[in-house]
Amino acid sequence: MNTFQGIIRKSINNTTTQFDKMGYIGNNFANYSTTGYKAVRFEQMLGADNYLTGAARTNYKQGSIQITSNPYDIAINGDGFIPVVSPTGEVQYTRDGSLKRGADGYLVTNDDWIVGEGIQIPSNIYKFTVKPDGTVVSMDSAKSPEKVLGTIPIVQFKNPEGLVLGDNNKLKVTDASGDAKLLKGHNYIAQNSLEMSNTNIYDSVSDMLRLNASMIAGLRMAKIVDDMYNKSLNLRQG
Amino acid sequence: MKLNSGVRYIENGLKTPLKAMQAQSVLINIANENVTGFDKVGYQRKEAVISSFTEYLGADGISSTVDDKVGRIANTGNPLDLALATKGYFQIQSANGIKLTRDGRFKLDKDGNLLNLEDAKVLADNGSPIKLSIIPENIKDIVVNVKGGLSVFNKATNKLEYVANIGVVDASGAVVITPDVRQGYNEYSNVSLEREFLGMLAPIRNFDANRQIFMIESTNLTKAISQLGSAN
Repeated sequence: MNTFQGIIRKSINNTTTQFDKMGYIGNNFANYSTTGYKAVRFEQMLGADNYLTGAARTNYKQGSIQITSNPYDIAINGDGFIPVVSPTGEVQYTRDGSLKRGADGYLVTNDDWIVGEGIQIPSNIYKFTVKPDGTVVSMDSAKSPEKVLGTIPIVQFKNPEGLVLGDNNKLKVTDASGDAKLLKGHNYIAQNSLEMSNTNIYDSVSDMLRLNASMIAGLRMAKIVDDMYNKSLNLRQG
Repeated sequence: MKLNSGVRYIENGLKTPLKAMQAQSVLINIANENVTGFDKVGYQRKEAVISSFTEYLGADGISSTVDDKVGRIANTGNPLDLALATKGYFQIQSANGIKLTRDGRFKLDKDGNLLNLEDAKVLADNGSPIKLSIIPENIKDIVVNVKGGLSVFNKATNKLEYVANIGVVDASGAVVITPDVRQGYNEYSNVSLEREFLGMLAPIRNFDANRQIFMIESTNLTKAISQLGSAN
């Protein structure tokens, strides 16, 4: 479309998609300190007719592991998710391992979702340990033998990018992601630590500068074309 | 145009500036597409081609061609982001046939098909869609060498298994024998904003000048009609 309206329309289309992208970058910044958060990139695709569409792409790169010295903090150092069950029985998946001891001693997430099939931690124990393969054991005293309480499961998906955002830092399974597959014999779990978000501040800033330049240029274009449009409408005036 | 008294008025005096203004708006449109494409992956700058006799043809006298210089290549760290450091295109199997693109942002689905972001399959150099034999636990286990050879690391055998060669063709569809495929990079457009905006000055001025000409001709015609037509 070569009309002035067409050009203005394209400029506006570009500017609004840049705003969408800005929203995603802002979201990544806001979740910079959210445990286990995976940065989402908004990818813009330019069609043959010069119209823009966008798609969100999640980056499942490992976040850095931070030691917290809290035994209820679990980090996954590898690929996979912890299945958690809501009070209403819904299953979702998370990499946020900031757990706590919930009602009846069950190991639960921050917002009271039960981890795995339910791991009950007695109150009168000396300490409990989470092994790298997810096995939770407790000791009644410093010298007593270890007692197995349960296992924190880790599941994997064939296509984790197909997962969709669920409640509160959790993900939901979809047709595109494939079914959850239980991972056995791994050593991915680290106790006393948390996985930080994988937001890359430098990448985000550079993305933002680029979209800012594009947005300003697009608006400037709209102004130029608007001037020309105006002039061609007022052909009779000097 | 021939006025009643026999005075000839050249009608091109009105038509020519209008046609010129239309032609300038096409140039502005091309510049606008380039400005939009500035920060888009794989966009190639369009260059206006003004043919002879555009003064008669107007907007129809202008076509565009693609500037196929390699754009800015930036690191992304995603193993499924591929950039072409040579001229050439990836082949994508879309719903309306095979499409050529320099946008190398790919992903895997749960069956191991290599797709672009719009869920269309990526073709190998033998023309068949690329499908991975094993779906890696982490996409880091996918290796693409500079020639476009895609392999996947098999954890069970500890070996790199060759899958396919990503097809890179030139604009006419002929296979590029030695492509330079870079894994973990995106190619942004080859548009430079300052060049686009500087290049727009001439069409804008030309547009204004032709508008003035049109208005002068219009005034002259009005005068001719009113003065010649009056009885005194």
